[in-house]
Amino acid sequence: MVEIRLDGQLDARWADWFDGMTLLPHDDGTTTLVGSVADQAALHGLLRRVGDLGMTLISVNAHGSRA
Amino acid sequence: MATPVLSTKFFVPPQRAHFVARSRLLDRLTEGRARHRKVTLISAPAGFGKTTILSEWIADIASKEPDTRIGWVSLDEGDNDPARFLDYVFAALKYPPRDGAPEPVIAELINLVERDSAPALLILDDFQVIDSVAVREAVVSLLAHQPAKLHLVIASRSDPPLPLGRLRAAGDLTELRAAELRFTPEESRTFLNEVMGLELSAGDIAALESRTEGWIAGLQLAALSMREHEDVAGFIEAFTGSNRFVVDYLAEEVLQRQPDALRSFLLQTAFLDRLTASLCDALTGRTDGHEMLDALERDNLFLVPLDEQRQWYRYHNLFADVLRARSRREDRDRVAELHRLASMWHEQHELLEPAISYALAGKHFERAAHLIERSLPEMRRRRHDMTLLAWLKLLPDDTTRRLPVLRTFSAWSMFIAGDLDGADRRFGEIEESLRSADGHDSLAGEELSKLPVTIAAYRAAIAQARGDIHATEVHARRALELSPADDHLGRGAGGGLLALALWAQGDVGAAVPAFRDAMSSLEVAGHLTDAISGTVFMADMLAVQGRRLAAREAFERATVLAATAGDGWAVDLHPGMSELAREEDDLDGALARLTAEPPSGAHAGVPENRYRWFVAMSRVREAQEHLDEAAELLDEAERFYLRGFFPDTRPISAMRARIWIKQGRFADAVAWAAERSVSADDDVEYLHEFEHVTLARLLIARSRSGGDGRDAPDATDVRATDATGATRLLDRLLGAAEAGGRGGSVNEILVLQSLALHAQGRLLDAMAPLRRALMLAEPEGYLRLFTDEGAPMAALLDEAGRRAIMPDYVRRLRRALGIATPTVDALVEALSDREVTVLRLLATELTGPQIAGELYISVNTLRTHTKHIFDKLGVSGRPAAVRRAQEQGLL
Repeated sequence: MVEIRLDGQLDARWADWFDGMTLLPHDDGTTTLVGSVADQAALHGLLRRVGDLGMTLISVNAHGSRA
Repeated sequence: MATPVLSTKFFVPPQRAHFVARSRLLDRLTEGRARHRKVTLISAPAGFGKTTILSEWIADIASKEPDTRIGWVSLDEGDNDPARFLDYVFAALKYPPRDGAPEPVIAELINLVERDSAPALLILDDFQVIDSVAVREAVVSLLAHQPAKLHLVIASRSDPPLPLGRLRAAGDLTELRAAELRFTPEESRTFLNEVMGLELSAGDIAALESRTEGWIAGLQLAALSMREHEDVAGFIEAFTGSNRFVVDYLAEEVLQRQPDALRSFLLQTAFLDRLTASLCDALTGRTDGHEMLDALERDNLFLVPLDEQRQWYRYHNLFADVLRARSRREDRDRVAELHRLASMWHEQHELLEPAISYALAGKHFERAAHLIERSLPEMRRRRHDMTLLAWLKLLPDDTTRRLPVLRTFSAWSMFIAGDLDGADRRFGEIEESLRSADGHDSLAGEELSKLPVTIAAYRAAIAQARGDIHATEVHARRALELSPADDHLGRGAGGGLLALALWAQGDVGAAVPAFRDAMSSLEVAGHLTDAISGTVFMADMLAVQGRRLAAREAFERATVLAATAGDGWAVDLHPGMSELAREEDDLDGALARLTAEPPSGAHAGVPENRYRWFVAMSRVREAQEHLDEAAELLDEAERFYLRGFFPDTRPISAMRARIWIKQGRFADAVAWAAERSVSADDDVEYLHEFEHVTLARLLIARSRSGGDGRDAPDATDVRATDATGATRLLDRLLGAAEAGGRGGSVNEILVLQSLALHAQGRLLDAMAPLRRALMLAEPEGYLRLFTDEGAPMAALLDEAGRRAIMPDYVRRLRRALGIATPTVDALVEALSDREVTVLRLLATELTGPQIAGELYISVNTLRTHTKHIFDKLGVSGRPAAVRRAQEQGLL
């Protein structure tokens, strides 16, 4: 399970673009992407998509597995 | 079918008609280059105007320095294949194309730049797509040897995995990052009000500036939205008051404001990497592609032209991402179908690579498999193997089952990945499927008709790798029999493998002509670099045959070929050429060959060269009597040892044992023999010949030394046993070497026979093998074969000199041994009566002119005489000549 926190609020319609992650908008104008990723390569791919959209990455947290 | 280098990839993007001049950034870039910094890095996320500022700078350079060679490469994911990457770099810089391993190709690039009179600029845009280690290494190696004339520019969304810290510390890096690239308030104003023609108040501009944080793409989207908005103030209020991600908010805004036809056009074409009108028409089923693209460019809707003629375009990356996300969301099935249409359009236009990429991306695997099979010959010829392997990985296994041509490549990839059993099994299956009545789907044609030959050659290679010499020969012969006269590649591969099998069996006499034919077939087939690599092994075989002159010729020819293939290829030839020079006692030359290249033992096409470099170096150091160092170099060689395709006819451990023998470390050498189970009673076969000869050397040396700590009373007996044991072993080795046509081995064995007999005190008997060795070796220019043997050989040559055996050659060898002391007989023969008279006078106190007077000759004539005397005595001055003459009893 990973949590990726981004600056800016992103509509839930973007979930598909982020490989089926769940998007949770927060009141402070940030968004958390939550979901599981298959492996390190998938996680890097996800982060690259965040970067490709020019979004500001605030934090990445991985829980449980070592994904 | 060609997969041409797409010229749109190195089109320098044109400057926009209206844009914000950014002289503060331009000045930084210009200054960095003026200060001769090696690299410029523009690193920032999408939408910060990286490409725009770069193209402005490049246009500036192009106008001020028309001679500067400018190469712009817009990278994409496919460029993770180093061969493809370098193809584009060469094409962008307008250098002639090069095939081959990355290292020599980069060396060639560096040379081309250095030879150029004008400076060069290489721009690698979108470097973030590069994640392959091989391409990264290629760039690192370019950086390491970067000529001062070349300036490298990298633009990337994230910091490239290159040694940036080192470049920064050395003051070699100019950097522009997001903080510098974002619009200043003044630039925002210029952009919104002057470029986009909006009339915004200072307060509005400040609000937009703060909401987007100077992010150019955000401001651009905002401007596009406002242009269509009636209520600009309301828009600004809503936008700046929203927390929504800037692009999400604005892209929707912009899309909503487009006419339906244009919006649907955008969504249908979003996934294309490159767009052109007829391709768009194929996807939309309409005919207005031209008008749509014109409208998009006119309205500044993130469309970037890719050529002067405005035929090819791409969407701005960020906008494309938004469009793609949305079109996938709306109709996933439609997107898959659009991929199929795009693949078909590219196939119809003979653009196979994109046709394959779109088929794979849309998961149309059957289609992709057929296309990949069609692209095979051209891709292999261009050595884009990594691209092929990446494609293959994406294909489900069953899609290739009925495509034997493609499956053969996949079996080959298993083979090079080291899965010998899996590969051989798969080749067997393919052979079966070719025979079966059920048939297959591969297109008839050259590739298919060559398949039986190809597979036989691969199976021979697998057998070779497994060490199964018999199977190698069987498969290789089959490959040769099956290949028609004009299938040069098949004949080259089959013939080469057959030669290797023959070589491994010790039949060098048959192997050499087979290998020679194979090499010329490869050359005719255009596989120049294989022909060069092959020379290295050809020379090995010729050396085994004792044909040093032919080996030299082969190297000279290969040097010419290497020059044709490009700089860097010659490196493979150096270890072999060093060994040739060493045999001629040209140790400086031998060393120079090796130190001309980086010490790690670089290689171009022969991976075995990494260890062969250390072996050759060890041989030189051994000849210079630095035995410890020679042994250490062999340890290094062992670290880099590669089994390769070629028989290991000179095991490193045996070479080390030979050094031990020279050092008198007999116990270590005996332990080596035990470990390798080498004994004097073994059957003699070629693959162990070098070890057996080493054992004979051990026995001879030990018999000469007076034992290895053994008890004195037995020592004499044991010594005699060693020496006769060596003689018996050598007799058997000689028979085998002669039968196999291995003249080089014959020479060494004959030398050792004479040494073994000498060790037994049988000096007269020793003359017979020595005489034969001298006669065989002389025309091939051997020196070290004899002189490496030191004092015992000096004694043998002494005797040979006395007997006038090959007198010229013996004299040369003695001089090389540094003991140029001709025997009395030889000397009397050699010195004329007149010279003996002069020599006697030289032994007196008389001065030169006095001697001349004594003999009624001119001083010049006397000089001629003394010069001849010095030459014949092998000395360089009068006192030495007198001493030498006294030693020889001449005075």
